[in-house]
Amino acid sequence: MTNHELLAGFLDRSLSEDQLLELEARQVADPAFAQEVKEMLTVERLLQQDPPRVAYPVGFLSTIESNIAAKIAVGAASGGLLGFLVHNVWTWVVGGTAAVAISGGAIYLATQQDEPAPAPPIEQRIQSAPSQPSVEQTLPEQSTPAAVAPTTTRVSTPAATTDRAITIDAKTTAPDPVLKQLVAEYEQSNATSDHVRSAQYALLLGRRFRADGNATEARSYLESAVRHAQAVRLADYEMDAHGELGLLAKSRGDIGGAVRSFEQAITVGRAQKRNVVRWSQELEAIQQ
Amino acid sequence: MPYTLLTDEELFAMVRDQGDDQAFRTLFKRYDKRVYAYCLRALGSHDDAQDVFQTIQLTVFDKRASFHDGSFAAWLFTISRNFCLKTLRGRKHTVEITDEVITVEPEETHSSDFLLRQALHTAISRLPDEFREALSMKYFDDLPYEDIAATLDITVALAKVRVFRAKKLIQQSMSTIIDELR
Repeated sequence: MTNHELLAGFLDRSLSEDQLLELEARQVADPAFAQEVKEMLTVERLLQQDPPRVAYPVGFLSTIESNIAAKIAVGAASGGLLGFLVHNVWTWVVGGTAAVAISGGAIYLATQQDEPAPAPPIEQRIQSAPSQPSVEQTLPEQSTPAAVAPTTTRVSTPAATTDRAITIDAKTTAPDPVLKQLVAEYEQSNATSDHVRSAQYALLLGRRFRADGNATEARSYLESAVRHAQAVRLADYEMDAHGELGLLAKSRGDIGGAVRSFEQAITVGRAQKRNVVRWSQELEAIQQ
Repeated sequence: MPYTLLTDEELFAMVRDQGDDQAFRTLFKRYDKRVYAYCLRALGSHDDAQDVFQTIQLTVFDKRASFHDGSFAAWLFTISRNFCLKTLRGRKHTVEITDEVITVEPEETHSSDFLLRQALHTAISRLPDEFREALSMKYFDDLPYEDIAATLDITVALAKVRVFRAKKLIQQSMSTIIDELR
């Protein structure tokens, strides 16, 4: 073993007892090597004790952490929603297929009788379709941060043997499982002061209510999204929530409000070096 | 089991497979300062370090499905290194380590340790890139030789050699001042 190999092993604490004895013997025999070992030990101590001190941008690191955690949480949530929807779609597909098979069987049997029976009315076939229980559900009121007006979704499916037509209110035909899920997720995250998730869900709900034309709920959730985002410095969500408020104001003809919201979105985005193109374009469009 | 007791790889698997944001936060906190410091050392300014740091973290998130085995730290630092090198290649001049990067506490101004540290930083800044990189990973990023080797795509033996040679060059550079201050 060379002196340097011994020295390297010594500094890495990987020498055996015999090798350590060898190192000591060589230091005794060679004062220059002994000096080198001492100096290397000083360097080693300095390196271990003195990593460069960095003024870490704690706020920046925290923002990045929150933003990516938010992406992960949203991914997990949408995966959950997707699974939920997929499950429901399959329920309908399987139920529908069974219904068609049963109806087809019934038609076949009827046509085999001496006196041909009329084909079952379409309503009856629909009634025997997927086993969907009667659902009348009121979404719970939101206590914080914005109250969501109780929304009643009603689907009544009469028994297959009755002749009554299915009563379906066109506006509430399909219970909105996504909306329910989002509200539930928002409530849960808000109850645990999880501002990151709350901001995500509030923003999603705000967008959804805006798209559905429910301006009051949209505004409540978007304003909540702003507050949650500000609480944990989630610039992306804060910016988008302001932008969505601008779109909401624009859709209601409140040009002044829209301009203010778009400007806020741009200000927040620029302060955190985010891409503000979308909101700049919206602002330009509204000012023209 | 508390998140803090899980290995990097276990935490990352939870992020990748279950979308567990708390696992991500635990893992992020283990490495955020080290990766940021790495970027800052490589790039020399906080602005650049922040840009690249953000890109690295988003890339780790976007490419999470591609990590399956090996050391998470080595994978993370490989990505970090690639982005830093890409940024440096895009520059027309090199940036030296400045006071912005290394802030020495003012109360130590007149101590012998201060002089030693100043000499150490100067010596490190003068090291050949390949030696400085390996040394920094060992002492500042706290990576084991195996991860240094994986990150730099070299053998473990060569990683050890580079670190040792870096220290040897520092020792030679600081020999006089060490002697004087003894």
